[in-house]
Amino acid sequence: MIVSTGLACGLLVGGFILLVLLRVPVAFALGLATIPVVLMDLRLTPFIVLDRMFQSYNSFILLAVPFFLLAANLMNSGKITDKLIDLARVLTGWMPGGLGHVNVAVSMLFAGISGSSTADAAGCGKILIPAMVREGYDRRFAIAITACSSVMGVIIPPSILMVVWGGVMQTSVGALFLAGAIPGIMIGLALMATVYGYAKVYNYPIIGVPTFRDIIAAFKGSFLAMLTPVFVVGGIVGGIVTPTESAIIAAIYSLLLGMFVYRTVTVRELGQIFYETGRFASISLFAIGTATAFGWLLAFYNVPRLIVAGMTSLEFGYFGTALVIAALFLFFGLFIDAIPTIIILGTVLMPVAAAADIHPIAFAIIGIVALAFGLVTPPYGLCLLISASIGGMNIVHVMKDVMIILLPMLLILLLIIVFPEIALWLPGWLMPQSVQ
Amino acid sequence: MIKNMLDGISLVLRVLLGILIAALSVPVAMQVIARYTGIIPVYLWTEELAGFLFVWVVMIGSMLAVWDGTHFDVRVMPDAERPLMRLLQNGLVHVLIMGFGLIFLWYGVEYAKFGTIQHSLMMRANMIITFISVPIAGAFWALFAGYRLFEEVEVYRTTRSVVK
Amino acid sequence: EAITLRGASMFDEDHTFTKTFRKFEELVQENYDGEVIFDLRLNSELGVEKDYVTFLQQGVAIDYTIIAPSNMAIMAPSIPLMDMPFLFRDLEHWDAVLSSKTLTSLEDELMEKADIKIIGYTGGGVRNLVANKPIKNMEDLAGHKMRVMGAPIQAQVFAAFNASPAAIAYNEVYNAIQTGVISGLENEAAGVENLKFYEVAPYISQTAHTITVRPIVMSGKTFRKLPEDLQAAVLKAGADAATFGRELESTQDGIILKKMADAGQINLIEFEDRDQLLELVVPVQDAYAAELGATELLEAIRATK
Ligand code: NA
Ligand code: NA
Repeated sequence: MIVSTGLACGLLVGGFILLVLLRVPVAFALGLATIPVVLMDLRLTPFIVLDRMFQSYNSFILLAVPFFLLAANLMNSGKITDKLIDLARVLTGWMPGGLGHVNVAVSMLFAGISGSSTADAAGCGKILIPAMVREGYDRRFAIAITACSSVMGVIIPPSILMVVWGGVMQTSVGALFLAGAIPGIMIGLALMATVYGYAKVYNYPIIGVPTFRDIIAAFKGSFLAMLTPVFVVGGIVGGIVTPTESAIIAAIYSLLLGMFVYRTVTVRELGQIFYETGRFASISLFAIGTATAFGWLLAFYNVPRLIVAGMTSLEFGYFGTALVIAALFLFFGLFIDAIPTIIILGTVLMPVAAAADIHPIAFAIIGIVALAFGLVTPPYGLCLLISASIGGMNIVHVMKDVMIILLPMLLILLLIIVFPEIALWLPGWLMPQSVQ
Repeated sequence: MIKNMLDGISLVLRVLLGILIAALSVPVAMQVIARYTGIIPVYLWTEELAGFLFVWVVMIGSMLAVWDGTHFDVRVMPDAERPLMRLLQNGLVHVLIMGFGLIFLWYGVEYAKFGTIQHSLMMRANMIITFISVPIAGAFWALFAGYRLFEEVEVYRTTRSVVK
Repeated sequence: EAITLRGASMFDEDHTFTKTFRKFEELVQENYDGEVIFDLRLNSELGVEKDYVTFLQQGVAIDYTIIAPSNMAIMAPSIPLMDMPFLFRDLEHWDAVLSSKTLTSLEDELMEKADIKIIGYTGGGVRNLVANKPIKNMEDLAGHKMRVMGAPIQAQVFAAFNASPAAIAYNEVYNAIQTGVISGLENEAAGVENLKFYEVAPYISQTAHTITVRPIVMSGKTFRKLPEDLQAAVLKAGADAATFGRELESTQDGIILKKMADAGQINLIEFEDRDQLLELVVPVQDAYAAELGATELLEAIRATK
């Protein structure tokens, strides 16, 4: 039979939600939900599911994912993360809610080195969640702030999502990196304000005021690590390397730091790090595959196009269109991984954005920031799942805190929509040809 | 006995996965070195080789994650308390993964055959070298999920006899 | 009952391929008495050309499309021959070959190895060097880092010109030029305009090394299922739409180039040593054809008047 759009949409989305409720892993739920449709529709066979999934791995851009993760894992194993935490401590630990601020600040530092939010949630979470719980912070708050602050990983450059976005939509990755910097820092500040609020309400302690020697030691300890963003972002913006190449350079640099400078990584551990990188990268990448097949089927049944047609017919103008774009990315981010969402939804929305006079780079930043929230929203929020599993809690119990922390972050997203200059100013200054 | 064998298989897969990630760095690093230093020529096959290794990383990683139970799931429903309900709750997931694995195995054999009629452009490699990962992954998902299902049934049987 | 045929394209409604598809739809309706519904999917909605090859071979998802020969090389290694640099002397030669039965052996190979049926040849874009610096002669070309299409023959030809070819994915080219990983590519005017390559590589050196051949293709599995009179209508419409498309693109190409030059987006550079390229390419073409056992075909193309 020929399956109608309505039926297909119901089977796909309904099946997916049902399977997720039954606790089928998200990657498999996306794949399994496609099976009834392809079996029923005369024009399709399960071959298409296998093929779309398999071919989605055939991408030079995605190669950046394991390398950015490798760099992040080397940072975590090589105690580079500890040095960043030391730096964050002297910078922010003297404020009320000290460890909470440290959690946010270290994520900003980590984000400047790594392109991955999940590695940040895993690396910093392992150290800071137990530390916060020990010092009397509510476990739910510790988990929620770790998850929410880790989203800066993909907003502050470098960023895996920006690499993918630039590749898919022919936008300069260098310009995207620069455009993410200010919004990322603003989100960091918003998070710190939230931590301050929590600290006042729940009376969370300060860590202590650092001495001059502490400050010098922390800066010295983290200096070499903080050079990584200079290499990576500078390399791309300065026109020296491609994003995938920058990822492997970051990995090699972290390796050299870990093995020869800090001497915290042994050859034996290196094998373990390679394995852990492969294990973790493949879990995310595998989900990208089934999500791509799922998204392809939605496209086959015209679902995204109907959404867009409905939207353009409403003639929202600049502000309304930007809001709807953000809302759609937020909504898709609830269910699907960010990269396939970029591939499916981003490409469809690009003409809509252009028609509403939204600058391609502003469009990208709105999309990426909205998708970054998807990392902490259930049912499919990887960073939240990771922090919750480190903290040993079910995500249902931390949702309230996540929502409270997300609110000021949403405000930043709104600001970017109203004042796209927040994103456009830095690339306009440093790479003027890319913003014209 | 079977458990030991499957643990052995998963250990081999773990070692392979680590080696593949390390190996993946080689062609990409070679590209960078070739481009900036000229010490070695720009090889066109490096990108192709990286692609092959990458596919295997993802597929082997997905098999291991089924064995370890580390694919991300979302726990909206509370944990079942009664043994039978728990068997149903956990068992159903394993059955569904097994089913997906069997579909991948069944159609994957066709897919691998489809790979044999393709040759990579630079190395002229028969594409079965990556396409075969699809039915293999399917087989291992089914095998690993099948054993986990068996374990759930065992747990159910022992808890039920204890209750009696 | 109405028959639905689904097409796919990587481009938007304004692209010559899309206009060719629309012509094809119109002509099939004209030539066939029954009812046919066309469902053309644009903007890479269902994937890129490489994916279409798989779909057509398997007879799933789509029924017809237009694919660059290099993208079919993975299943039929001889196909890129029809698109290799300096195969055609000029537009007349190109048109004469495509209007004749010369390429039948390649069509048979594609049918046999990939179950893909060629129903017409469109194309007609002239490919030139697109670079971030003026390339005027052989000296400028030496060591010039440029992106070529994936088929090995493309890299072989430009290596023979002493350039430094790299097979970078099409969707990474813009960033690769901007970041200085490569200094240019080779492309037709429509591609330069569509993907805004002029922003990073505004110098067009007029080597005119390739006149593009873009087969309109249908899945063999789809074609065999069609009623006979529809098959005939599809073949006729395919051939006629192809003629329409060739005329459109070959005239459009010069217009687009002029438009970009007038707008100051590109600088047209005369390439002084084109004769040397013509000489250097012959042994590469010969060796490639010999390797494929297609020497006779190459001779036949060259001999076409
Ligand atoms: Na980052
Ligand atoms: Na954090």
